[in-house]
Amino acid sequence: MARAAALPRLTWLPATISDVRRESATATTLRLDVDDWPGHVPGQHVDLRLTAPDGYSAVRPYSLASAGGSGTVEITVDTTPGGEVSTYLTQGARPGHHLEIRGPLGKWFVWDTSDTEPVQLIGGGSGIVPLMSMLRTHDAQQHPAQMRLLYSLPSAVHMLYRPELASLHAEGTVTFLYTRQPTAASTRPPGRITADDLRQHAINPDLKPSAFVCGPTGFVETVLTLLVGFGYDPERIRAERYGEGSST
Amino acid sequence: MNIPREQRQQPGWHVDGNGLAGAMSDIFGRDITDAMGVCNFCGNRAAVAEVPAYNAGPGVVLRCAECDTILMRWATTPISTWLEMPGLRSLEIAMQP
Amino acid sequence: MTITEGFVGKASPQGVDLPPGQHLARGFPVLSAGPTPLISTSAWECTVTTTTGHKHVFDWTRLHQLPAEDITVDIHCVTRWSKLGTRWRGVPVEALLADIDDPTAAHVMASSYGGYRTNIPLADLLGGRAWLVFEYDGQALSPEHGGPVRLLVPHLYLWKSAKWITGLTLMATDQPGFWESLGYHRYGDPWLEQRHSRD
Ligand SMILES: Cc1cc2nc3c(=O)[nH]c(=O)nc-3n(C[C@H](O)[C@H](O)[C@H](O)COP(=O)(O)OP(=O)(O)OC[C@H]3O[C@@H](n4cnc5c(N)ncnc54)[C@H](O)[C@@H]3O)c2cc1C
Ligand SMILES: [Zn+2]
Repeated sequence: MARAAALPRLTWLPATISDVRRESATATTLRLDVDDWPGHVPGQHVDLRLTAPDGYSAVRPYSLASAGGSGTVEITVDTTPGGEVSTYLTQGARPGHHLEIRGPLGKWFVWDTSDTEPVQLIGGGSGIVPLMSMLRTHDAQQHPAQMRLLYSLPSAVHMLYRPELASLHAEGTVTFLYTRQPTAASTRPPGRITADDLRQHAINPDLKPSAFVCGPTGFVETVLTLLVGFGYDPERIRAERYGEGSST
Repeated sequence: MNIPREQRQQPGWHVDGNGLAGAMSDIFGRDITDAMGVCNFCGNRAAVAEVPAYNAGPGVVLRCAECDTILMRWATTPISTWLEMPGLRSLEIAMQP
Repeated sequence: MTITEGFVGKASPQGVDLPPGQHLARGFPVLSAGPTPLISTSAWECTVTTTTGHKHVFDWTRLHQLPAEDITVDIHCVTRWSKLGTRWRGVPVEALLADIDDPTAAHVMASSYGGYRTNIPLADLLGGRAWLVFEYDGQALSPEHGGPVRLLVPHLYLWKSAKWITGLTLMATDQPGFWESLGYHRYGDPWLEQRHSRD
């Protein structure tokens, strides 16, 4: 009997930065060339390891932004003031630089494309990254499930994936919730996400949606409470907390 | 080991077990975020991915989301990793496909 | 080894005298191994237990009857950040032990609300080198940083300065605490870089 091929052990793979793109005033998207990359499903992350010439190394997790099944490895990093790894990735990284990658990681915060139930995505700050992978996968597959995004961010200059999200916004798939500085067109007063925002813009709980929530830990905690209060089934909500070091 | 609910502040300094998939693969040799753990104190059953993970410190502490019992904790020195699973009654790890 | 071009890690400070392997922190990082307990000053107490099991309880009022002092010290965390010239106010640990007669005591287990523990030689808590502090930078000590009262032992790595202190148990022999039983050094002198048990 043929044995299923053993899954590759999670080892550090060498990666070369092949493209660096400014994504917003403070964030950068990096494309990585990785030999033998096994592919990922939307929602997963990787660990990156950077090593300085003196041997000092630092490891941090970053969500994958590229569509699942695309074979492309792209991450988007927002600057954390004084942060050692994000400062390099957003300001120092250049095409041709080398680093190490381990992954894809995480079997829980993933969107299973065989599900057809509606999906509500809620992201705060750089927490949009894995949700973008879900939106891109949805788009690439012309997936039948309803998918919507609520994106909380300080102001439009912080917006990641602006061209893509602007067209999804025009289709009514995406709602921007500005916490500090709204655009001239928006009627909502600036501020953190509220129960009202969910009532107005989130998929109705009667449709039994699943939900993915990602962002700084405090943001995620708030949204989870609001979603359950709104009537979402806690069993269908998955969350990814980025910690408090990451920026909002 | 546990702080009564009314005495605890909204926990802020943690991520989810999911974010530590890579670190745990160093110990278990694979991604165990979908493994199911049972708390020995309150019986709560949850995926490793869902468990609050406190990693702002010398090591990592995974706690039961219901009762704060320490399910697993580890620290890595230059020569070894020390692992303790004081509050984990069981850990069910699915077969590799 | 793959070197990342242009990555330097944490900037090493110029002209500052820091223990080996340390860098200067931005802000005041919060270290935690669990949720932050919220303890009111009226509920707070710290129990000193002797090797014979005698208990001496200090509550907020009794703590404030002891002579407090202002302290300005450098602190060093084993996670590699240091912070210079931090200002605290508190009572020397020696003042809590003044009336306790326990000749066999040589070590102390400090314990916190929430279950954290760390071991320190008794001698290191004496001689004006350790305090129970309740103010940081002129303000009441916040819960994230160990308020209402934490231990401060600045000449050892900061994991020894137990937050939310609630007990000092005198011991004849040394016992490892929370991190010391997971490979961290029993003593933890930052200048000797005693991070791990074999350092
Ligand atoms: C699963 C997962 C996925 C992630 N994906 C992304 C992503 O797609 N994009 C993204 O931009 N980020 C992401 N993050 C966050 C990312 O991993 C890093 O935490 C972030 O980039 C900061 O790292 P740094 O090395 O720059 O900062 P660090 O050097 O680690 O420091 C961060 C800042 O916070 C402060 N700080 C750190 N720890 C504490 C503390 N305990 N108390 C107080 N202050 C503290 C530091 O002083 C510093 O100012 C993700 C996190 C997780 C867990
Ligand atoms: Zn429990």
